[in-house]
Amino acid sequence: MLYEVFLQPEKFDKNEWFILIAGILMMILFLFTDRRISVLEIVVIWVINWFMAEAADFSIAIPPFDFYDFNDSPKYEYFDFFLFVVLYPCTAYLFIHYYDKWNLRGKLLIIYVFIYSLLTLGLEALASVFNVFTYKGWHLIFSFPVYLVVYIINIVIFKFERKHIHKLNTELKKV
Amino acid sequence: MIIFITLMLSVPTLLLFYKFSLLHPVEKLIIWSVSSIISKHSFTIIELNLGMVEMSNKKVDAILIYLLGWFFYSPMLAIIVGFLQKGRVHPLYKIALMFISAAFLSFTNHLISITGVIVFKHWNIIFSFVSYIVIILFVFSFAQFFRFIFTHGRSHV
Repeated sequence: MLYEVFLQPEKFDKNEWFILIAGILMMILFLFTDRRISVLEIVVIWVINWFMAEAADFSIAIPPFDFYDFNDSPKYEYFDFFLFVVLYPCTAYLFIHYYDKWNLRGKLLIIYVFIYSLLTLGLEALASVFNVFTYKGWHLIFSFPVYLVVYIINIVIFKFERKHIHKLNTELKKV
Repeated sequence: MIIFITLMLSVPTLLLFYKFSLLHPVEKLIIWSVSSIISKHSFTIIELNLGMVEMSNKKVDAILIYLLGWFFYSPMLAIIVGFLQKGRVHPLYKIALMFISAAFLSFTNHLISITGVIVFKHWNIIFSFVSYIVIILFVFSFAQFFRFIFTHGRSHV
């Protein structure tokens, strides 16, 4: 029974290779970005994006909604876990990293969110070519507004966290 | 019935979480998210992979179950962990709180199963109790780790 807790892929084929290679590439990108984001901020970005991905995928991709399948079976597999823990948070981390680095505001920020959402949509399209996603009632274009919302939430949370951490640091300096 | 249960459990829990939780706002957000991840993980594995429980096929029921997860179980776990992290409380009281909380959460599982939205096939209240003890300990461990980096890892890498 324990081996059913996390299932092995039915067949180790192109979707697993895609997740593995994309995951490694994303981790390399993550490791080679300059360290302007603190450990605390990285943990927050990671947890929030893991939460959002899992909340969406394990709500609308399973019965009774069942809009799409990811990977080999509708059940929870090792590679689903890898997808949630590595791919989604890494993509969001890179988004926040460049948002902070380029100090984007106003129109530039809107353009940045729009372009990054399009890039993520491209990544999703590529993933669906490799059978990571199999759409049943969903369409690729539906994901675009979802990515816009996800990246706006990421900015809001990043600002919220920075504000609170800054406040905490100021209070600690006074003590 | 399930709408009534969702409201009765979620509204006071959210108020409690917002007003009286002992956690810092950033900790609140993260512990709530981690609680959601762990609850969702365990429920998905128990339902889909192990087939020990079965969820109703009605979309409204599914939405209400998700709402319960996000607005009752997750904030409740965050409140419990906030109390467990509190200093100057005897460890025995903390252990008692953990067991009472797990019993309460298992009871709410049982309450939901009465409505028929979730059917216990090879699952029972004792399994719920044990799983909540494990979930509380897991979230508590993460909360301790997060508090550590919260106090030590605010500076840039």
